[in-house]
Amino acid sequence: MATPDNPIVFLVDDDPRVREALCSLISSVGLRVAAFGSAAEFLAFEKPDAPGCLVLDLQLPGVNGLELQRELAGGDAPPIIFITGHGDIPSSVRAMKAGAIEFLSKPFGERELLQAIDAALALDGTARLKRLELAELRKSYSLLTPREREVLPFVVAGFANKETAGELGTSEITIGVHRGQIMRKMGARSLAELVRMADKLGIAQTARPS
Amino acid sequence: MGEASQLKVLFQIRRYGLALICCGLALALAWWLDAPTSCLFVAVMVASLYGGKGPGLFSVGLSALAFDYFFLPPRFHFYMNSSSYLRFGPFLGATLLIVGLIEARRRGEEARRQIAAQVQRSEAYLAEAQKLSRSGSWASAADSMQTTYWSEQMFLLVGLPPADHPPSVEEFAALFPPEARARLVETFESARLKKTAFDGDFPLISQNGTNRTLRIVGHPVLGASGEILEFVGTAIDVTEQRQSSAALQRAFDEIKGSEDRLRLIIDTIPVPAWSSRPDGSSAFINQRWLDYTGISVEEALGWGWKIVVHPDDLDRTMEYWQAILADREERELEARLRRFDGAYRWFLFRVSPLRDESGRIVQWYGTCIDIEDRKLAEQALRASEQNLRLMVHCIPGFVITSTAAGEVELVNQTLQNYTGKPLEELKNWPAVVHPGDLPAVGSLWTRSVKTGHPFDADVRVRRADGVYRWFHCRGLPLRDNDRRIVRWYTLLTDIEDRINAEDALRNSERDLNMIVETMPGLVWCAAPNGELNYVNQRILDYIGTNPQALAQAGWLNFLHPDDVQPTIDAWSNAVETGEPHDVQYRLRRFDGTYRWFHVLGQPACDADGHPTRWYGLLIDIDDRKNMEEALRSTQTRLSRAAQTATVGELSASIAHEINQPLAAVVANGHACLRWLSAEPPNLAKAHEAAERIVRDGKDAGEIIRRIRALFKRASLEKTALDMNEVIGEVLRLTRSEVVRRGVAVETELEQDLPPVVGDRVQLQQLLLNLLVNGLDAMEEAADRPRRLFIRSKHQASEGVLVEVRDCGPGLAEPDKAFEAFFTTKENGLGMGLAICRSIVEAHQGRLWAESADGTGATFYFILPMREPNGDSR
Repeated sequence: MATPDNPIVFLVDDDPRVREALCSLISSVGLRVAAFGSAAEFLAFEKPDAPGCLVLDLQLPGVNGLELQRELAGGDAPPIIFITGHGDIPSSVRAMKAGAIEFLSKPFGERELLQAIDAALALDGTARLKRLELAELRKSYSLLTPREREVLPFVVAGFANKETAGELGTSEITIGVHRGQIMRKMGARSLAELVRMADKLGIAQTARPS
Repeated sequence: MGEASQLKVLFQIRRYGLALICCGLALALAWWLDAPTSCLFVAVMVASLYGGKGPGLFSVGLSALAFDYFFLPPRFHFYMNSSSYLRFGPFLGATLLIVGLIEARRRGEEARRQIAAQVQRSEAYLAEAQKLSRSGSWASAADSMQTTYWSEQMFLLVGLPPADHPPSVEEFAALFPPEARARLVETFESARLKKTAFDGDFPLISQNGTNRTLRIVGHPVLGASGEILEFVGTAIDVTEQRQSSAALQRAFDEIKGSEDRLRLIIDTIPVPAWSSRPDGSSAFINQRWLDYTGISVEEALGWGWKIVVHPDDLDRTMEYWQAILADREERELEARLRRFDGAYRWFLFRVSPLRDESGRIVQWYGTCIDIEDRKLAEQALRASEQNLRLMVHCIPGFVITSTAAGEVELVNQTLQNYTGKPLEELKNWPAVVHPGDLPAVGSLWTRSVKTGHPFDADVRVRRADGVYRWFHCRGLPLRDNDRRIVRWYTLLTDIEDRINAEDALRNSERDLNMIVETMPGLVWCAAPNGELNYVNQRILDYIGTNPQALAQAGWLNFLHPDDVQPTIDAWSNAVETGEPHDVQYRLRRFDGTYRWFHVLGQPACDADGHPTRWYGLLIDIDDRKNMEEALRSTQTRLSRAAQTATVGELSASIAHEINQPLAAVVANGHACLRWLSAEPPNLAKAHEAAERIVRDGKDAGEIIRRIRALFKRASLEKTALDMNEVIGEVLRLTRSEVVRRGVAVETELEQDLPPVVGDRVQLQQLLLNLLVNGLDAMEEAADRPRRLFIRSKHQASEGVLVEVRDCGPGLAEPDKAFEAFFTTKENGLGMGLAICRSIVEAHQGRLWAESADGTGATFYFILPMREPNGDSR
């Protein structure tokens, strides 16, 4: 079962009773569970390279659930399912706004929780793929020479080689060579693909002079 | 040509003429006699004899020519045949021989004549010399004292008339006294035997009262075989020589003696002394100097003496010494010299030059006089004089001396500075005295001068800037042995400040008295022993009595009977220990009602810290006491009500507490079912889950039991509030409690806080809870000051921050403190801080705690500010 790709559910709740019950419930459907009593313990844990999700109690000693969510935001953190003893509306709104998958008030039914976990794991799987793709793109992009990186925005903005050469003060042939190199290094089969790649990498197209 | 040479030529011509004539005559005679040879011989002889060598040879020539011409054949020819040579040769030889012989003889004659003249001259010289030197010469026989020759001077020496013959031995011996005579004989005999020279001084018998001495020197003249031929000698009158040499010797002796005496004197005079060469290096140093410095003369001579000069004085001394040498004047100099034991003493160096006739300086002489004692005395005198002068000029009083007649003589500098007038102007002292004081002071002074009574007056004296200040003048007369007044000494002391202070004191005393009597407070004073000796009018009015009645009845009689004993105890304790007195008691009013008073007493202490007097106040606190009572009951009610009111706010917390176990129960239930429905069923896991369901269900029941007593929710009334106001209200409510618990409350409230929106009663409840929590926390704190610190602050972004800090033991788990039913108190329900949190959260604020172990706990809450549109955030 413990293959790297086997999904894992992280559970953070300071109440040992709840922790025990949820561990039992989640493992009963054949998912891996890792339970923690506080945010610090969770952060210290070495996560396996596998799709996962985080079941997080809102009220925690020290760093509370919302703060932990804020801390994880932006990284490769797994999707979060909040659970709370008394869910007030402002907290739930904040949690959902910050990207939580679900906000469950205790006591909750097994269906709600397990469905949320399934959705979260699927979401994480996709996100991981995207991250992988982006990492590869970045790797390719890192192979470009500084001059090629200079040329790339002109290419993806649809400049003809002649125009680009005019802008950069060089010859059309040189730009053609750069363009070929860029296509090769980025592994783009067409200009359209290159444009998409640049878009994913967040490279701004050079604006055409009006 | 001179006359002498003319004469000489003439003489020569005469001689040659003689030779010519002789030859002519001889020719004529020879012709006549025909005996040419003899005649011509004679002519040559005569010419040589009388004419000398030249004319002789001349006559030889003439004779030879004449002989040849006239007498040799052939005659009358100069030609001569050989037979004639035999005659001519011998002739010529014989004539030349004659000339030679005659010339030789003439020369011998000449020499002898010259020697004789020389001898004669020498004898004349000798005689002259002997006369001059008063010496004579003599000769005697070899074997006797009989003199054979006496020079003329000898006779003069011995005082005998000059005679041709020397005197006889007897005559000679008679010239000497017997003693000298014997010695003379002895001397002579001894010389004769030994064949040696002799020499001796022999006195002559005095003639005409003059004693003369003759020195007689004799030498033996020895023959070829060594025998004495004779004695020759001299006699010299050595009387003067002897006398002068004796005088010289005496003078030498004298000088020697005086030099020794001088050296003795120089070495024994009790003053170090020395002399120096013109270049300044020392040539002589006396014993005293060496004894003092303890260095040897070799060390000191030259420039060695510099090592004993004090190093601080050396440069100056050398400079000065060089200046003295340059100026060539007698000078003095003071410097320190090191004694043999290393101590330095002051010396006065006095040097003076010794000059020769031309005024050139030959030597410097100097002495060193010990002036250490004088120096010390001078210093002491100078110091004491300086001190005295300083004292007189610096004492903060004015000193005047006056004559017996009362006229100002001298004033000290301070007075001159004060009045801005010099001594001359101050002699007219009435000019600086206040005109109002002048008549009285003038008459007093006149009377004192007249009677000799000490002068004593207070007078205003004008300062340089025209301001008059009060002075106390006290003058005393100085009397001589006859009790006559010599001088008056007057001291003026500035008493302006004292007089002002006295006035001020009098005024302030009057004012104070008026204040004490008129102030709406009750004031009392007591002696150090506790005896009441003053109460102000207000107290008398209050208790409705007068001082006499109060003194008779005793103040304790006016106290509430229940308070008498505690008050006595407290007052005795205060009087005994000197601690401030602080009690509360009930005092009976004139109408018989008792009112509570807070009594404060403070001792005034002298410099040693002993109480000199007790001052006290009675403060009517009856109204306050009543109010406190009312407040306390209100507070209790409020607290209860507030707790009730906040239960609604606790619901979330309660829900959380219950939902936790409930969530566990539900999840366990689901899990249990799943384990059971699995293929194959996992019974062990299902069993575990079921057991947890039972356990968590029980937990939930326990929690619900604890909440049972809680109350229903009340509605909130939110308004804009100043947090400082709320804090102030709560502090007022709890002041009595705080004091009762001996806690000091400090506040640091920021001015102009922005208003917050909230329910006044709830926020009061919040603060009250935090405050009471802090007070409770410090209940056990006996080892540190009980201080509660409250601060309000405007936090720019979040709102108003309030901080409550206590000095209790602190919180072990600050985060848990806010959980419902969490308590460290024996009787606590564990809801206080939970209620606080619910109140704060209901106001959209934050509440948290921090605790540094051992230094107390700090609770913070932040409430959001009112939005500009009036709504809360």
